[in-house]
Amino acid sequence: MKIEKLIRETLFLPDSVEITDAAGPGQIEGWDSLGHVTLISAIENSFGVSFDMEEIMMIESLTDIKRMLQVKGVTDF
Amino acid sequence: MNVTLSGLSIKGISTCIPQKLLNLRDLSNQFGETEVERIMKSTGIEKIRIADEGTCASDLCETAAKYLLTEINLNPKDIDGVIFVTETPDYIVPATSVILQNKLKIPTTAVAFDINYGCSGYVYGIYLASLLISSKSCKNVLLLVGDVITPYVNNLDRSLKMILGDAGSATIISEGDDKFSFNIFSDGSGFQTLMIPAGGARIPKSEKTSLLLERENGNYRTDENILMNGLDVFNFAIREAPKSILEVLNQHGWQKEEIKLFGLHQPNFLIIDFIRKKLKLQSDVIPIAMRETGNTGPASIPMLLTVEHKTLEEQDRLEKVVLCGFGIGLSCASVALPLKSTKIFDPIIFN
Repeated sequence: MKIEKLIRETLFLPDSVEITDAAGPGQIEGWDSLGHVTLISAIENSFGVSFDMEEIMMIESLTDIKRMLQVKGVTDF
Repeated sequence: MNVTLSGLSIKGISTCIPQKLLNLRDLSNQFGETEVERIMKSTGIEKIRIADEGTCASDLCETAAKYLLTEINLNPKDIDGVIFVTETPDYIVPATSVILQNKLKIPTTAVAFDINYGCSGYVYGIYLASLLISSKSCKNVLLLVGDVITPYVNNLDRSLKMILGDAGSATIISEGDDKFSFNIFSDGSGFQTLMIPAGGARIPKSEKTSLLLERENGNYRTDENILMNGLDVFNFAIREAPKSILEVLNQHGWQKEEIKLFGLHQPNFLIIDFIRKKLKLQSDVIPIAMRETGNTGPASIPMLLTVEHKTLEEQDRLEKVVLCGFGIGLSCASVALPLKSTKIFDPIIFN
């Protein structure tokens, strides 16, 4: 649930907005290109990982973010 | 392209900003408070400098130049080169640099030309001025760099309305004992990433180009407004700027650990922070100074230097400096140079 909380705080989302694993850039208000980059930066800082540009551009959903975090050795998200 | 040029110095740097200040929080009624706060937090920009109607980039640069020449006690008669770097010239023709030569009472024997560049333009300008000096064509080159871009931003395009600001600058590059190294990268395949589509020869202005249309993310603009694909610009910047910086360090024989100032173009906090992380640098060597001005395009690097100069001088951080600009073109340019002997002045307000 940490990642959902981080997304909500970073994108200024109200509690009424549901964040599902399918959510991604362009599907939630505020998750536009600027929001996407802001979110990745927040994830990098919170979980101590680094995303390269190809990874950032490949992310289409929260599922992709979780999968990449797992690949980078993060399990508690 | 990598090159080192010698026999150079930068005598002085000044900047000029418009008096009018837009507090981005005042846009909450238009774009929504949450959206405004979200963008401000991401970009690190809180206020934008906006030129009055009728004020051109050349006016801001002219004011910066007059101030600089007075402060460093350099007679305009001793200037033999004028370079004006802008995306917003006074006219389609003639070149604005020639108009500035006359306004500033610089001799008619001076060489004067414009360069159409944006965020990488300050380094491009230093490069061309350095070529004029090192080839012995000139002894003192006045480099004027600035944009008044806000008239090209649509008021309904929050992606740019809350980012771009107006500013001008003046820099004197002269004969001296310093050497400057440059790395310059151009990739025109990305020209549509950041552009004003209509108004040139390719797409003349017409009734069609003046139509206000809804674009991505609920932003509105015409084809006569400036557009930016933010993610593509971001992609280019964090891919090319770190490479360019490492290349110029290698060209100049400096290690990144010995550099106390990386003066980057100031597009927004996020891009600069990503570049910093990619280069594995501490935040104190990459200052950020767009909070009170916005992204001032080609003038953003001299703006950074003039805003931060007192701290940089007090902390003795100007001996080994790397400057890097990136953006429209797409293009990226870096220079390694000393600024310890350079007289840098606080920004002045245009009246």
